[in-house]
Order: sequence, then structure tokens, then C-alpha cells
Amino acid sequence: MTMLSKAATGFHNLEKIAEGDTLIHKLNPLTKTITTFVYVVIVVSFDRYSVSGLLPYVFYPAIMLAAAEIPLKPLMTRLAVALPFCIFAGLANVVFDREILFVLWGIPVSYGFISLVSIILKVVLTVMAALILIATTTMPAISRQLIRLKIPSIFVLLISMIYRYVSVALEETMNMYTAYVLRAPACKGINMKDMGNFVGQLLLRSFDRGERVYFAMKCRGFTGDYRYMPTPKPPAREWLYITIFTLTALFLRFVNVTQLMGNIG
Amino acid sequence: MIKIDGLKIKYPDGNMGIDGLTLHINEGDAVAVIGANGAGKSTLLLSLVGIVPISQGTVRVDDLTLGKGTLSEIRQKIGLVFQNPDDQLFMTHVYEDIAFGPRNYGLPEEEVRARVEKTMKKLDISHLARRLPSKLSGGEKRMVAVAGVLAMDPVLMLFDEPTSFLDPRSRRNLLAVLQKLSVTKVIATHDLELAESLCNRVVLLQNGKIVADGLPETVLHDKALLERAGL
Repeated sequence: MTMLSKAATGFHNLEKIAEGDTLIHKLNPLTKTITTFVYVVIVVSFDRYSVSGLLPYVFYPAIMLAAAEIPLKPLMTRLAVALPFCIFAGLANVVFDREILFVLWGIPVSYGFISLVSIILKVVLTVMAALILIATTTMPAISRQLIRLKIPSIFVLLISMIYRYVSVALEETMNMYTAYVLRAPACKGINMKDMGNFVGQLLLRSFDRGERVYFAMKCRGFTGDYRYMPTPKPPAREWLYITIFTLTALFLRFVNVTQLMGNIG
Repeated sequence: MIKIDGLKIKYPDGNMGIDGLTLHINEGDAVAVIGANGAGKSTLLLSLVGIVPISQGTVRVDDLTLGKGTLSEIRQKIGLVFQNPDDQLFMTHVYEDIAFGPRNYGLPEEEVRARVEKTMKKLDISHLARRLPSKLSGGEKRMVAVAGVLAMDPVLMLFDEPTSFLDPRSRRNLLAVLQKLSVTKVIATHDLELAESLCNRVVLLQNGKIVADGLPETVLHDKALLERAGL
């Protein structure tokens, strides 16, 4: 349960960091949203065996982290949540794709292993980019930019509400857990035989709350489409930044700088 | 101003939530709706904003009759403050949440901003504008929930158990705010002290029916009547 408590208290830490005052924080949210989107699309577009081509992209999160003065720990904690999933996905490649690509210091390295490294690298880079965006831009600002990027408002509202209610769900779970352990002091955690009831109860409570939230929205005129506050467009110098960023990212996508440098060396 | 005539609400399980209720509320009134659990207080409030469907009877607000075609206008005129503020504060920041209603009614952004700022100032919560709803205290959440409804500039405000979950200090603050609001109010509550101090009329419900309707000093001091109604 300490894990849940930590999650509940730490959930909004990134939002606090997002209220910082560095140059990166001051960038127009649209600038940050576009550059993150471009970065993610380009990183994901590399083929499954690319590793060296991805290496120059490490500079983006590194520079952003330093410039925005974002502490590494909260980001790494969140990244750690995503890693097991991609490792499991990549392990399948190691098992099924055993063809040897090269031998390094007497150890054969298969295509499958290279693709595992590539998947991990892609996940680390894209998740870090998304986390940096969240850590430098508040949620309402991101929501407004998603609307500007023509994402349907119902999806944007859903994202905002999930963000808002995760902490409520955690609180509800903790309350139920506390009530449980107070009446089962000998148990460490929730007994498996009670788990079904516990999760079911939580689900029913979530349904109830969801219904009440929807009623509250309807009472304030919600009809399924929500208008967000308009935000100013990025100034000319930020468009220049977006253009240079995109061109550099595209250049690195099509020219393997790491390999070139290796050849020169 | 608001005329409820012969209102009947049947729950899906066949039980009557409201059973032939007639109630007329005048402009500027502060009406306390009291009753034991299950008497129909919350159902009555939810039916006035069209959340709970009416089985029989009519609800009129000014010259509008509650129905599918008038729901949007009715909800602009009648604001409901829910019992649990967590049900109501669904946006990521306090400012955004208070702006939710005015924006839904298509007001220009300058007007939305003016309304939000005016409401926050009125309730003395301007300092909460950038805060996350999940990080507010119970009393602050309640104030923001009231602000979210007040910003829509309703002619009638409905409050469902407004003092539940509040500590004495937050309760006092809320009472002071409610006292200041000149809008017509209907307050469903178990808090008889609140009913006496804030309202000029008390309606006592039992099994979905009105069993007493009068001045607070008359209804609230009739111990036998309150006892019979389960209070």
C-alpha cells in the first residue's frame, strides 16, 4: 500500500514541475507539442534493427532536461513503469529471431537481440519526450494545444478527466484498503480470496462516480463538445525553432551520423 | 418563479421517489428541504434539472416548462451544487473548472474570464485559481463547486447537503457565503441548524410527499412532527 500512497502523493509532482519558469517552460505549448510529436514520429519510424541511427536522438531529452531544470528521478520512476512492457515485447524477438548478425568479443549477437535494444531505446526516447512535455507544460495547456491540432474535443476531455480522476481512484482504493486491513489485521495485503470482491466493489464505485460526474457535467451545459480557452499562437522565432528542429530530426533520420563518425574514426 | 405541480417520480424498481409533490417557490426565497434518508430530497433536486426523469406532473421555471426541448435553458437558469464536490470538480485546474459552465454556453472568452474572476473574488477564492482540485481541502473544494455553478449566473441554486464532510470552520465560511448570495436557493439538508439560520421557509418531506411547509420557527420547533418524519 506504500506504493499506492506514493503514487497518490507523487501523481501531481510533474504538474508542479510544469509550473516552472525556465526558457523551455516559457515556450508556447504548441511549439512543445509539435516538436514532441515530430520527435516521437521520427523515432518510431526507424526500422526494427536500428540502434546507431537512434543514438543522436538521445541529445534531445538530455538537453531538454538540463535546460528545463527537470529533476531526473520523477521521470525515471515513470519510465520504469513502461520498461517492463517493452522488454517483454522485445524478448519475443530474441526467442524467434535467432539469426546471428555479428560476433562481439566471441559472443554472438542475434538480430532478435538488436531489435530488443532498438525497442527499448525507442520506448525510452519517446516516453522521455512525452514526460518532458508534461513536465514543462501544464495539462490545460496541453489540452488546448491538442484541440488546436484538431484532436476531437471529446478525446481531449477524456484525457483531462483521466488525469484528474486517477488521484481520486487511488484515494478510493486506499480508503477501501484501509477499511479492509483494519478488519483483517493478520493479513499482509489483500487476501486473494477477497480480491474479486475488492476489485468488483472498486469498479462499482467507479461506475457510480462516473455517472455522478456525468450528471454534474450535464448540469453545467455539457452536450458532448467542449470549447477550450484559446491560446496565443507561437511567435515567429518559435516557428523558426520548430522548423530547425524538424529539419535536424529529419536529417538525422536519413543520414546515419553515428555510422559516419565511426567510419571516419 | 418555480412551480412544481403534481410531481411524481417512479424509480426503475417501481418505488415512488416523489409522490404527487406540489411546491411553488418565489424569487429570493431560501427554502430548506429536510427529511430523513430516502425521503426524496436529492431526487427532487435532480428532477428539477432533468437528471431524474419525471413520471408525471410539471416543473415550470419562469415561463419555461421542463422538457427535452428546454433542458439546456433550464440548466442555465438552475444550478445544482452536488453533495460531493469531487463529483463536480472534474477539470484539471480550479480556473478551468469554474469556466466550464460559461464556456459550454458559448460565452466569449473575455466574458468567461470576467465571470470566473468575479465569482472567485466574490467567494474569496482567487488564490486557488491555479490549484489542482485534488489538492484542495474539503472546504475549498466546496467553495470551488459553488463557484462553478455561480459563474453560470443562475436564477435558482440547488444545494444537496452543502455542509456534509465539512469541519466547523469550513461550515461557518460556507454559511457566510450562502447568506451573502442573493440568488433564490433550495437547500436539501439534514442540518437543521443551517435550515433555521439560512432559510425563510422549510419543506419537510416524507416518502416523497410534503408533510409540512412553513416558517423555520414553526416547522423546526415541532418536535413531534420531526420525530414522525424520522428526524
